[in-house]
Amino acid sequence: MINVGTYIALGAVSGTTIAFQIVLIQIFSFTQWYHFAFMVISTALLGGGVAGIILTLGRMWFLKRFELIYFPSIALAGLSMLGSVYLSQLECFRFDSFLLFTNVGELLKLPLNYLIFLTPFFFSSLAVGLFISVKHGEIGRVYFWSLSGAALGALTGWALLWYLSPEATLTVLAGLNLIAVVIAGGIRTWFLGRVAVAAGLVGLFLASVYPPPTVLSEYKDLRRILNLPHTRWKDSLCSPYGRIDIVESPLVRYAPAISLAFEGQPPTPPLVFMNGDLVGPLFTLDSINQVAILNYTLGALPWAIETRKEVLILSAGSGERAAYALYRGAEKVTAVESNPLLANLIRQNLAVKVLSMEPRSYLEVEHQNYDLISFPTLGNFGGNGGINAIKESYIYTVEGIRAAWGRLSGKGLLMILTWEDYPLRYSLRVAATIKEALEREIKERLLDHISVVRGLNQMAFLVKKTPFSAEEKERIVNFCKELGFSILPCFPGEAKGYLFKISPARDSRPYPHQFIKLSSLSAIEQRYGWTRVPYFEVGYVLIWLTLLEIIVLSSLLIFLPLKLKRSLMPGPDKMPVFLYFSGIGMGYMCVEIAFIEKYVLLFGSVPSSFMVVVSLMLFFSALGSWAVSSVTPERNKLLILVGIISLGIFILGFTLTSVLLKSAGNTLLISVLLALLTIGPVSFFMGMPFPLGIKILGQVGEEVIPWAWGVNGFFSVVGACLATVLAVEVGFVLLMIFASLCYSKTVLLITRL
Amino acid sequence: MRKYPLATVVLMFLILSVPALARDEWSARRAEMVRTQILSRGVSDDSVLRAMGAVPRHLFVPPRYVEEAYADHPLPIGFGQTISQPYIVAFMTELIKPERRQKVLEIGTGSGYQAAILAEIVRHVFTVEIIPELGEAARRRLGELNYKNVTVRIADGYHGWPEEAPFDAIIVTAASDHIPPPLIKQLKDGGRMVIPVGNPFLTQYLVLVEKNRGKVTTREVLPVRFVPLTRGK
Repeated sequence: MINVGTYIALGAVSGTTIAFQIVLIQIFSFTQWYHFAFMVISTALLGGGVAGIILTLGRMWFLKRFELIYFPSIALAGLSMLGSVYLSQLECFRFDSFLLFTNVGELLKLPLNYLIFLTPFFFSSLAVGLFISVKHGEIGRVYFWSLSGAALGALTGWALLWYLSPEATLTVLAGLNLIAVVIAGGIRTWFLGRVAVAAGLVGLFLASVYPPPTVLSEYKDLRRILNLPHTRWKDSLCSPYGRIDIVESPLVRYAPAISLAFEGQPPTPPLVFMNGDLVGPLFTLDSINQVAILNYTLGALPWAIETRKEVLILSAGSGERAAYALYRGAEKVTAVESNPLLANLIRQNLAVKVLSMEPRSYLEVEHQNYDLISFPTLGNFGGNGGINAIKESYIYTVEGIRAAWGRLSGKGLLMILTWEDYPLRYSLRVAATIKEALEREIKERLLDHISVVRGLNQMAFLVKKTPFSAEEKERIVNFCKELGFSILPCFPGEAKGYLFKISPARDSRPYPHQFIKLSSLSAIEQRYGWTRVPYFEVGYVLIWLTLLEIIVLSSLLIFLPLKLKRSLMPGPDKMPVFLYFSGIGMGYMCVEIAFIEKYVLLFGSVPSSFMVVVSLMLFFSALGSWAVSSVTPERNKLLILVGIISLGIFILGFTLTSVLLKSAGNTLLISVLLALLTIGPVSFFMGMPFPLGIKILGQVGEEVIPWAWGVNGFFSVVGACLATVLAVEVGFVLLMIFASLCYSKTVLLITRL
Repeated sequence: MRKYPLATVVLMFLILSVPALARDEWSARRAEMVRTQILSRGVSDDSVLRAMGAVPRHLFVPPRYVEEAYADHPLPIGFGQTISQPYIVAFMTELIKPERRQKVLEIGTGSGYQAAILAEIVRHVFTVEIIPELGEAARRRLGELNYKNVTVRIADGYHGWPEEAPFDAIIVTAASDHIPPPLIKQLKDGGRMVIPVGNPFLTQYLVLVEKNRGKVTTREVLPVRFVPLTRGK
């Protein structure tokens, strides 16, 4: 019997599933890298589509056993969330994503991990899909509960991660599913169910005492440092923004690209790690003299020219550049850091003004001028295999450099440092970006404003608001002589036919760490060999691999039931059904991914942008779904609806970036209200096509509903991957146009449904 | 046995010849490695080529990677460390211009392979490893292979080996974001030091440090990866 409790259980399983994704991202980002999390979770999400296909194949069997399948599926979804993490950390299943391209053994473990993580998504989708099949007549209401539960789940996952470790959060999620089953009365009439729930509760108790272990990859910075003798863990903090560790080691010296002129002992300050990757050293006011070592690096160059009173540090990290500015006597140091945990760390340790926001947004809304604006060092020592390839940054875009230029005082300087990579990519892109950003302002006098200095394995770009005077040039020469550095005689530029993409990044494609050109892949392969290509940009390669893998798997699984059980799906023509549900699934995810990327400008970081965007979109879509619960799907209404959605997405594609840039820096409440106003309306309408489509299918052939649900699930996953690839390749505006077209194409099919 | 004397002899012959056959197989792979990966890319120092052809690299890699021991890429050895690609080992060795009379310091013993190559050429190799597990394993391995002119120390390589300084050459096999001043001090006048910088699986950007009459100069040896990547030419 279906009652309110059954709906609550539906909301609970939808919510815990989305919270599980957030927790998994946290766990994988710490033990491996975030792009690997993306790969595993995207593939595992296909479990939803698999559930749809199984429901299609055994529709009548499942419908007759609703309670027997629905409630245990919810309980099993929760328990397998916990179990999957335990299993994945066992020696026989655990693998290292860094070795994926060099070791066949590691590669073989990948499908095993997919299967492990597919299980919870399969069970939760089985429960939701079954409910939709049974209550397709009330699809608006069903979808409302599912989506609003998911929205609440995103918020709950976020909130729990402030207080609990990701491992402990898993136990809570599993527990929530069990409680929902008990509340819904799912075990009232079922003795075995009671036994299973009791066993599950015992399991949860044990899991809270012995949470799943999480083993760091050997190639994570933190693990390498922990391998050294005498290393001491000082502090550790989990949050939805990731995990921060502070570690002390007498063997790790801080002397980045230091001159050979230095003959002393480098300091060994505590080191800060974010998700196991090194952020930088931690200096306090007491230990600020240690930062003097930077006098022997390119970081000292701006002070070798002149004293800097007002200094702005963009993406301040662990605060070493801010500490150095203080050490060099800057009167006012402003540090902008998007990660609130890092911002707090700087606030606690240094007497500087700290703002926790997206640095680019700060440049747009702040009108103060600075004597020095210091950008974070590009590239990282050792390369780390291009793990940041698909990480967006709005300060290293043409528009970002222009905005920083606008904040310089009369004698002000922009300072950009890059680690020297091989083949050269970062320094060439920085040069191209500066040139394009400023050629309008300083035209042919570019070289009078810019000085490029090469250190041991770093390069510094100094860009001055006014031309360098002869005296200033002399000071740079002396600095270089003293430390054995050299001034580049000409401005670096791109050689024709260069294998890598070094054209400037822009706000519409803010990926300054992405260099691989698809058109040069075979040339890169010829020169470097296939096994090495992925290590240039692991993040980028994995996204493509994931997309291809998902398209192949989805195609197989979607068309399998059509081949196997043609007789069981006698309903309407399948092609329009396929195109309709794939279009709305893909379109929805493309908009979601694009929004997450853009709202970073408003909320400072990807985790907070994810939380706000996902929960608002789901909540408003839930309302949209509720709004059409009593609407009869008619052709004209559907045409108008699809028109509104396509137009809305289209308009946002062209206007959102500038709206967000102009609105940054407000209070959280105002930012959320703005997000609500921009995300809400379009999401409200985007929640309608799915229930309306299901309603139509209910009238013309309800046998196809589980299949349509599966197709929608598959293409949501394809859409998420494709959106990431499109964002990198063609940019935000074209991605939004693509999403708009995904919805528009359904117009062609409405009449045929 | 008395019944089938011929069969017994054949069987005994086969059993006894297995290690020799295996030895031949590894020797053949080594020779192939030297020819296709090292000689073809321009390493021409006879002593280096001989050493690369003599040291059994397959005994320096973890058992799971034995079959890949002579392949043209680095291999993991645990603790986030790698045994370098054969070409890189040969190239770095050639860069320091090794000679029989020399005393060489190696920082970052790892598997001990680089130390073994050096030991084939120079008088004595002092090698320092910071991770005790790796250092102990390398010491045992080098002992079993009878390398008497290698001394392994488990310590912080940043400080070099002051008691044995100065050195004719120093090879740093662990990437560093700067050149440790103590190592420069421990380099003999006229000596050479080589340090790799970069991702163990991708780019090893070598820096050659030379000390002449107290003056220290550095040179980034750019083509280290370009050369291997145009192999076959």
